[in-house]
Amino acid sequence: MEENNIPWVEKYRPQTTKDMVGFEDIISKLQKFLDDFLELQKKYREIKKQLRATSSGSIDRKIDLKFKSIRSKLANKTAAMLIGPPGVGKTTIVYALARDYNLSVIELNASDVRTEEAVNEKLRETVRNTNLLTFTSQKVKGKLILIDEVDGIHGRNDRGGAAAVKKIISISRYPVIMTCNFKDYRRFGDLYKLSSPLLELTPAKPEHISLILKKIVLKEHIEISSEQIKKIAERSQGDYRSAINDLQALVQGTLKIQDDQLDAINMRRDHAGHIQEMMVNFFQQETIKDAKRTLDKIESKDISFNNIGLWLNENIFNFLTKKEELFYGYQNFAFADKILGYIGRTQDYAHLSYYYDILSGGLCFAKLSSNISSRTSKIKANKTKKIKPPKYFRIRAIPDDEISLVLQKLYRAPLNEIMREIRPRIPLLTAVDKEIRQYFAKEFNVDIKKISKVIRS
Amino acid sequence: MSSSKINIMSEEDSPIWRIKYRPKKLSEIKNLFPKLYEQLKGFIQSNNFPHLMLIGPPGSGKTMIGELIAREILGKEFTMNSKILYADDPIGKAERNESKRQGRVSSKMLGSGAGSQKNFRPFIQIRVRPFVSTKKFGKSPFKILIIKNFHDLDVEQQGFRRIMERYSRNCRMILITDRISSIIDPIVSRCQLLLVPYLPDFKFNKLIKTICDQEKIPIKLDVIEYIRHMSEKNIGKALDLLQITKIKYNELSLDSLSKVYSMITDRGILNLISLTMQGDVKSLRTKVRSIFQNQNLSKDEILFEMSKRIADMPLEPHVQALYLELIANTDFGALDSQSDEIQLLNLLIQMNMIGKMNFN
Repeated sequence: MEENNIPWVEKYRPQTTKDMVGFEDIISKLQKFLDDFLELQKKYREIKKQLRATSSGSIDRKIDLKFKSIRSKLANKTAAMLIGPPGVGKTTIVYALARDYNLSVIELNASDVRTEEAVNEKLRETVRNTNLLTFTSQKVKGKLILIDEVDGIHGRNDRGGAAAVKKIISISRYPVIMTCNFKDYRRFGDLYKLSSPLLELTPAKPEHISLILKKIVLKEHIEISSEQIKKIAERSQGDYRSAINDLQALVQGTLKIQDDQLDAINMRRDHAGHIQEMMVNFFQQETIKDAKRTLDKIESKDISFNNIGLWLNENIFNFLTKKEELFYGYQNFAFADKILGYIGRTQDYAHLSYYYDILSGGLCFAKLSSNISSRTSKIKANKTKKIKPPKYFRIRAIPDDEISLVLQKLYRAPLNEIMREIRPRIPLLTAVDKEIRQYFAKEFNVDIKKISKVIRS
Repeated sequence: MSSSKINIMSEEDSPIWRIKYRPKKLSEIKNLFPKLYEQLKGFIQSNNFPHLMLIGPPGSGKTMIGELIAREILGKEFTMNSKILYADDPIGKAERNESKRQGRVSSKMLGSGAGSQKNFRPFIQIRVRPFVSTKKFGKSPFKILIIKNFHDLDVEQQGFRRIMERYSRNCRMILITDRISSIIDPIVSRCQLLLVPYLPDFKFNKLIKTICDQEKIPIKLDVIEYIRHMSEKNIGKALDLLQITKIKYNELSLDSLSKVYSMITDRGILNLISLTMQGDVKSLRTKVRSIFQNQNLSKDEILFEMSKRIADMPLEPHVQALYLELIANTDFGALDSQSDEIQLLNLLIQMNMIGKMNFN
């Protein structure tokens, strides 16, 4: 009976990499990473021993040089990064690998506070000191450091956390594997640079998920049709963990499964965390006041008031579907945006409340159907659609690079016009005629073979 | 001064027609602009002229004429004593740093007014004054400064009042503009105005014909007429169109020209408009984003081009008027706005709704 209390996610977590399906590529890359690291480490230790033995007298220069080169190589190969949506098995891979290699995992995850101090306190000593026992016996395990959910290092709460992690990587004598959910170059660009294999995991295929679900079903003796398994697998959106959790939640109590139960459970699954929930809540509110309050809640967590419009804009099609709804919605949206722009320009925050009024009232009640209950049911159906973060576009500044300046000399036109009209024509002009290509190559002062590359840039 | 360095030899040898057939001597434009030619000849004979302002539609040859004047007067010292400036060019980082280093611009003024749209642009301090205030080289009577698109200077025009007077002995200016109405009165009164009109149709045709003859390409009259129409009498554009067609299809026919024309000018806006009229909203957003990203167009440019395209379209007049009004409203109303995408989508959805309505 005791086994029932263990979540199936833990119970059926793959123990070795052999048990994992669909990760062959990633695993082989990680194995290579670990192999390389361990080999280098072995060499490093040997040479260090040699050095120590000769340290009293003259140091052999060759050995010294070799030592240094290995040290720098080692520094470049300490860290790997796994990027992928939640539940695809990042952590599992790391643990399974550790078991294969007989390493003990030291984990630092999002539930820990990760300020600079905390990171240092927990990892710094472990990372630097080789175990005393390594000198005496060979059986003692090495270590693998797992920094889970790096992107969860919060700017405000975990002050200096990212920098501390960076430092840890630079001094670590053990392999470090980091995981994160999406790429965020602005905040963690340095970490990405440090980690030499940067591996991206895609959401798992439904077939793979259903394969694993079937295994569990066999072991647990559950009556469930393969169609239902397929359904669960599909609705999990490539998330192993949620799929297994769903299965367990369904099975608990009754061992036979009804279809409507399946629907109910998917309503409760929360894919993108609170933002998803809040966004759906926002469109379900019945009064402007409530809508405003929900908006406030969204704002206070992760998203600043500057970005809230962008989040809504990115995901608005999940909630407003009819043309008329979008028409009203966007009219209000644009007006709110103008207010925001005014606030940004004048720093006159007294008008911010109007922004919220119009955004909340205007968007929330752009939904046409007067019957609230039908409205909510419609939105519920849309809940499975994932909330995406807004996309940012950098709008070009007029570049005053070398090519543009040369063209300006030739054509006597302002840079704006060069960019808009003349530069797009150059590839057409140079396409066939070799003479023209030669001419431009001379003007741009580049090799004629490279000219097509230069033009296209 | 490197930006005004002009290598005459390379221009004549240039395989690019637009550069190759630019007149090199004032006498070459005698037939094209007979009245103007007489006037300019007077300037050159007296080796002196007041500040000039060349006014005319885009592509009519204002810059070329300004350059010819400078060439005739300065002779061999042209490269040393003249400079072409583009009023709407942004001031680059290197230039800004250089001027900071020389102490011409106070570092405090730059970067202040954060968040405001119209930044202080040290155009005069960086580009004009250093050139104007240093003495001329050699034997030429004065320096010549050519400023293109002068109307784009907006408020900065005020700074020219004093400069034009103070340094007039050392440097004459040729201001070039196609929008006389946005130039302030004090500047207009300091200059002699010269009108550079479009070439008359038959002269334009003749010009194109002679160029085609020199390149040994047969061309028919209707093709020339078509080119004139499509290039809006802009000689440079016409030559580009001709040459690209020649390269691509090796013949000049209405068919190939129109293909090349749509290829050159299409930047996804027509597609966007047609999508707006029938498509669904979701595809609109993808399209807008792809234009932002791939075509490098800003919101203002998209709006401008849309209005131009819609004015050309064969729509019902009242629908057309409504569209244009909406575009103008968006452009004007969104001066302050934060997100370009939201504003544009608002406009497109509104246009989409109108497209669905019935006007009976």
